[in-house]
Amino acid sequence: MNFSSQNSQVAQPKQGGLEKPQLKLGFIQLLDSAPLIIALEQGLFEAEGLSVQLQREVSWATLRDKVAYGLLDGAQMLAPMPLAATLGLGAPAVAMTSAMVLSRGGNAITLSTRLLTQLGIDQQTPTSQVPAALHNYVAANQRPLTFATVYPYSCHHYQLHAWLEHCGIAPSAIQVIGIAPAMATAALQQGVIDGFCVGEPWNSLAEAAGHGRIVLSMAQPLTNLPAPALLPQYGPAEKVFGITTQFKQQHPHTCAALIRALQQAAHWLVQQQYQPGLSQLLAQAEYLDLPAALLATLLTPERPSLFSTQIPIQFCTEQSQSLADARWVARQMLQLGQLSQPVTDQLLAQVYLP
Amino acid sequence: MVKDVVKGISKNVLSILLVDNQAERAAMVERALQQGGHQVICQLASTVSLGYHVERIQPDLIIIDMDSPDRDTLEHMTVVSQHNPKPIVFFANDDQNPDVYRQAIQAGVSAYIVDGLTASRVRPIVEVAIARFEEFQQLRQQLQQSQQQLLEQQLIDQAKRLLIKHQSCNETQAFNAMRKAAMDRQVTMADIARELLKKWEHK
Repeated sequence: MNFSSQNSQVAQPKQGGLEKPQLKLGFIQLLDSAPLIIALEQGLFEAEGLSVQLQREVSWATLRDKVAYGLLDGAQMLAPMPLAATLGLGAPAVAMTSAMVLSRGGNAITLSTRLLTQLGIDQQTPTSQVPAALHNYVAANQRPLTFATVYPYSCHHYQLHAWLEHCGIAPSAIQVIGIAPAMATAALQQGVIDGFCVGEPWNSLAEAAGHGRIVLSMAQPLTNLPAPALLPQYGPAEKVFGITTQFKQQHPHTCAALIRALQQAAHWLVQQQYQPGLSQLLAQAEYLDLPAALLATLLTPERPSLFSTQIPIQFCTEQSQSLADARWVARQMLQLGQLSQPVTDQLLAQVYLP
Repeated sequence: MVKDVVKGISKNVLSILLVDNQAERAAMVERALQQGGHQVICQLASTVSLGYHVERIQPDLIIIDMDSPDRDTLEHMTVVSQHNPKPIVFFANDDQNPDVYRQAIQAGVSAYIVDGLTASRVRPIVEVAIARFEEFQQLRQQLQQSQQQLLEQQLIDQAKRLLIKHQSCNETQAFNAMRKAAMDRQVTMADIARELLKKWEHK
């Protein structure tokens, strides 16, 4: 975990009545929901005069719908989600915007123990040999493989496809399905899928339980991937704080207060990342609902040798993404056929550069 | 006339996959839809292989609990159409009335239809599901309310007994004292009871 210093100037506190002091915000059971949890638990929302209720959602689709129709005021979102919602991809179009970047990194690709055995890869084999082995396996048409990502409009989805392309595997040669993060490890264990690209802690949990092995962290300097130029080392913006454009327009002071609280939370996270208190806060039943000891090992900068691959997460404070980040998302959508025509920079700026 | 209506229904028989882990609620929805002449297949437990299920059954319509993690699997199928012979799209895509959508979300219902089915054909079915989900929500709220009332009554009785014991008063006096305290401080009798119980917890 690292602290992002870019664009980190904290928004100027504007005195003014909060249009809506009581808020309901959504999150998904993932390590990078930490800024919202910390802002609540450390009283950072309260210090801004906000009374926030956090609500855990089990699917990205439901989280998006609840934000779109006002059942949630805002939420932790996958970075491509505000654009997909604005364009009406997969659901009726509702204009959304990213109010700030919450995190970068934290994603990885894990392959099942069964597949790795069939590939002839054991714990000692360097993971750099996986792409060639996988390519040969698929080319020999051994058996049809199924991979999973959490959601079609996600960095995971784009990163998995980029990796498969890097392995020389055509998208039509394997099946890619969608599975909610918390169900992915069970699917790997049951053999329903052969590998997945998801966010933490689910890769580490799968590896710790012996269901699979992490073969690539998407935040590693992507030397073996077609790295999007001009993107920060941790990769593109992964999670953002998403709101509807309407909410933003009607509640400017509330939004500013929310952003300040979340920025404070990111600062706190960097200072406290080695403290046992952090993992205990996140581990609580209403948040990640996982053993604190396990979370603590994931939050340590030098992960124990139990895990084969480091999966760094960077908590951020920048309000705007770079245009390069936004263009990367739009380009992936186009490449995978999610979009039929390019998105203008003007629209990207509306959605991602508030 | 009646004959025509019956004929109309039989022509409109759709196969519906219902995904809901609330067995009681699923039964309510299933009954209501079957009364409308539809064929309903229930999927109670959440499944990682919903995709295979959908391809095998090939339902005309999928109605799914909004709080089911399986929604992301369906969402994915709407995009990856090359692997799915029957792409499904969210019903509100060609629906001119966003209120139905909002109402569905509030009730916790979401629905996916096979491409080609018009919104007008699906909407009555979705509305049946919404109504049953709302009914279930109300039943649950009523149950919670009565459980809460029962719990508060038990607290009040317990506190009353303690008052009688410690203040050597009779039941009416104990009750009146508690009611007066609640009125003076504008809190509920249950709040006063909780305070009293806490105070005498270790005595």
